[in-house]
Amino acid sequence: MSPLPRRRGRARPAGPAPYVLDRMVRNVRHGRFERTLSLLTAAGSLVTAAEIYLEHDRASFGNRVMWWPVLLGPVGAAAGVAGFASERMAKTALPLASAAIAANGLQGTYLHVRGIAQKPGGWSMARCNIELGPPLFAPLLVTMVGGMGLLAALLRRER
Amino acid sequence: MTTPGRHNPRFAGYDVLARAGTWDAATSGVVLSRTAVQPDLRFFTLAEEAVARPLFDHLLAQWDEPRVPVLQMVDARLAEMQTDGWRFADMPEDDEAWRRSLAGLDDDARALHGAPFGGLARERQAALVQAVRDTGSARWHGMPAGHVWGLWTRYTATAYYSHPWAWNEIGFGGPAYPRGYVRLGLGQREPWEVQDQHPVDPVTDSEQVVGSRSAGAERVGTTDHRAAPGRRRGPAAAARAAAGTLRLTTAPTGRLRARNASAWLLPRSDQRFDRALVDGMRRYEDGDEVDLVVVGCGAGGATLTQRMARHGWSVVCLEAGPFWNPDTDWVSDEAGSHHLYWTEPRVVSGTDPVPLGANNSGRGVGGSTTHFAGYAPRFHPSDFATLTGDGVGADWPLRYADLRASYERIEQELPVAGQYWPWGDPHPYPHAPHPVGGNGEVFLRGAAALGIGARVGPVAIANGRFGNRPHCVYRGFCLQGCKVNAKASTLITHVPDALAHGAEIRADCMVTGIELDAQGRLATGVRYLREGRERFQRARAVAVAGYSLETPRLLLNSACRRFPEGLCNDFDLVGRYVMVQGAPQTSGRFTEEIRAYKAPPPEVSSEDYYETDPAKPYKRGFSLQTVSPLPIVWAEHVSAQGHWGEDLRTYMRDFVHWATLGALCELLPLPDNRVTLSQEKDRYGLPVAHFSYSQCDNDRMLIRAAQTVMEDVLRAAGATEVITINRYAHLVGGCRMAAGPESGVVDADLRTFAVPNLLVTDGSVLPTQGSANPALTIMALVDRAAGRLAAGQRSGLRAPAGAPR
Repeated sequence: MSPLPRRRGRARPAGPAPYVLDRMVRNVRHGRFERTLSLLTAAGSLVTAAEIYLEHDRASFGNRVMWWPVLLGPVGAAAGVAGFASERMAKTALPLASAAIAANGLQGTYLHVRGIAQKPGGWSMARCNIELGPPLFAPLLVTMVGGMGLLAALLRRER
Repeated sequence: MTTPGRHNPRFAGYDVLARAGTWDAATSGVVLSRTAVQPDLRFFTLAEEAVARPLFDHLLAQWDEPRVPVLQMVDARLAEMQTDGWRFADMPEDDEAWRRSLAGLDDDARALHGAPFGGLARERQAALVQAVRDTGSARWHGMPAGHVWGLWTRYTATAYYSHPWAWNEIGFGGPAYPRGYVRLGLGQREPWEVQDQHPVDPVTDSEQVVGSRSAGAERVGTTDHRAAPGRRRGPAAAARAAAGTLRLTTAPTGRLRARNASAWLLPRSDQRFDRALVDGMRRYEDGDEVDLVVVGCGAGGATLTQRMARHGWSVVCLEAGPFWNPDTDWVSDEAGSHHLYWTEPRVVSGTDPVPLGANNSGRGVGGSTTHFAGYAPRFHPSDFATLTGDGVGADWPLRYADLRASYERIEQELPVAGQYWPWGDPHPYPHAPHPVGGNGEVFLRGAAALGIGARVGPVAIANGRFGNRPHCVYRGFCLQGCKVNAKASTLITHVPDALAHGAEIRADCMVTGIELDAQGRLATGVRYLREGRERFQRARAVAVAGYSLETPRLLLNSACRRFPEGLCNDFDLVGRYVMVQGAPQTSGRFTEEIRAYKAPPPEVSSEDYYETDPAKPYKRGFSLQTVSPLPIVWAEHVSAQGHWGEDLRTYMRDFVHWATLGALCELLPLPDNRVTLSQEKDRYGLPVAHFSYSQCDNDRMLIRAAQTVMEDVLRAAGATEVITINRYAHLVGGCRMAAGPESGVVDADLRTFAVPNLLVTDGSVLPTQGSANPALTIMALVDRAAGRLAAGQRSGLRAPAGAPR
């Protein structure tokens, strides 16, 4: 993804880099990846939330906590876009939202593990209950999205 | 890998017993005892054994060792009197019928061949058996031959197809708990299930291609299928449906929990009921005058108990059966679940006598909801005024709008899972539709081909977490009691909350009479039997919830000076207008493996034919639903076609290829379909209920029409052969509600007209039955009545302390 259009008046890094791809490679080499990763976090949040909505709707939102990752999706998306647009947001809103998403993923893992344990037979029928029960590793993917956002906040901003 | 006679060409290598390690202890105990050494005969005499042994071999075509020990299994049932309880009016009790019919067969052999039955050649024996079969409804040795034949096939097929060796032969998965099924759908098999080696229809020998519709093409369209009128479609309707569903799934559960916390009172551990709730239950003395005594703890009784306990009333609920512990009392097995049904003696008669038991009775805390399929549809608005609208049936003293809020409350408490419901009053369901198995797929496919609307649901099975209740595991034993706690029964949806709020549920107490004060104006309590002793529970109000046969029986048995013809029976209405739904079931044979036992039997239904169609000669209609007979019930289907012996076995080996649909036809309420007291007494010395039932012409037309539609749906889905069994389901009416005492027993608030503090709170109050399964409506009516009762507060009789009883 191209970091264009860039703001005018910024000091350009030294050396010639006529192509977008060259500039991107240079940005990555120097740890300047904040805006791209913010946008990726935004997209990841939305896609994850949409999938979680469908999966949790299939399970009837039986525990209303199941709405949290769905609601955190737009929050992560907004924070990601804000981090893309503003450096200040990338250092404040983005890490906050990302931390919440990552924590929610860990909470989800706990709840899914508990759900599997409470199926008839529990862990003594691990294969059957993991396959048929709440997906064991899916919430960790949410934590990954949150981790992406946290990483974005730590990075340097593209030039 | 043992199979009867060691024949198993179709599921070679399949061994259900290899899975025994995954069964729960209670189920293992019941099932594995069938493969152990059987006890000696206790019921049959030597002479009877000499007839029964070859007869059973003929009925089941068991000619080679190892044999399923059918003789010993039937003998044990009869010796322990594990009968269904009911009998036809023109038949003796089951044990006596067995003795007489075996003697009759021996007499036939002696008369025709001059030798005992056991000494005849196999062909001559078969001819004698076939002769009984061919006698039909005519009398044979003083009994209707058809009923004798039903007795023989029912007992022998139940014994045979309850045996794991027989399951190996037919590819049935056997018990499924705690393990459920993972792979649902057409042609899907668990890793341990074995593919059918000869999927070709053994009867028609058809080589039909999977999914082809050619076989029934000439028949499709003959029944003039049409979509239900007035159904809204389009984006606006879709948006409304989505918004309604969203409203239900986002509503905080706190409100529901504040109303009924049952789902949160169940244990989270591997136990299914918190025994501490029972041990810590509040207990009343007989002399305590409680605010309300409820008779029967089923759909109506348990709901009323919970509601009134929540309103702060002191409530005692008397239940004739036991307080179930699902972990130890229920098994994942058809034949082992007999104790869930009401098996006290009853007599049935009429031109269309209704067999009783599995699908119209219940016993123990939870009543029949412990083993109902779980379908929970609402009635349609038109059901409440069929007399005005269609000129048949009766008008209710309330309207659909009076029940809507109650329907919504109960649907959330069960909870009900299903797609947005477009029929009747369109409404969403709180839980999402379940995935469907092979049977549901076939119904959806056939309905789509014919343009019939079919939807997944509505079933009272949790699809997702609900309080501490887990998700369904798709084990298919809904009708044997849900050991998972996923399917709703009042044992888990209302009883825990009732106990937590101070109600007493006194199990193993058979109520024998309702007492009135000296003037016969108000009820003062009930007489009941506990551990053989008669007791009397005083109460300021009494609610009877014993279902359509036992409620009228109790009222009739409670005759007193004021009510010489039976309590509340001034106008000869108690026991009248009892209804059953015509429930023909049609099965279709598919080349694909259906394996209908793998998902819950209730999956998909259609209410396209619910309302009166002006183009048809009959009034009112029927609904269509999937049903999934397990092997024993499937054997009943096959036997009903007249198959026995080798024919029966051939059809049964085809078990995994059959999909089954059931209809519920709205049979009309008729005054002569009634419960009366029989001459016969039960073990407590009380006259038993005599239930007489006959259909009218409208009923017969409806049942025929439903059968035709089901056959067409199955053929459209690709069935190569269809068979239909005619049967009944549900029981309602008997103490119907009405606007005034001349036309009914209770008013819209379920209070009897004759005794102000006596209520009837079960299915017997329904004036008409619709084509919907009645459980939800019974609970909704009781929810409404409880609110009305609480609003009037404790208005019953307060006897002075120490007054003589």
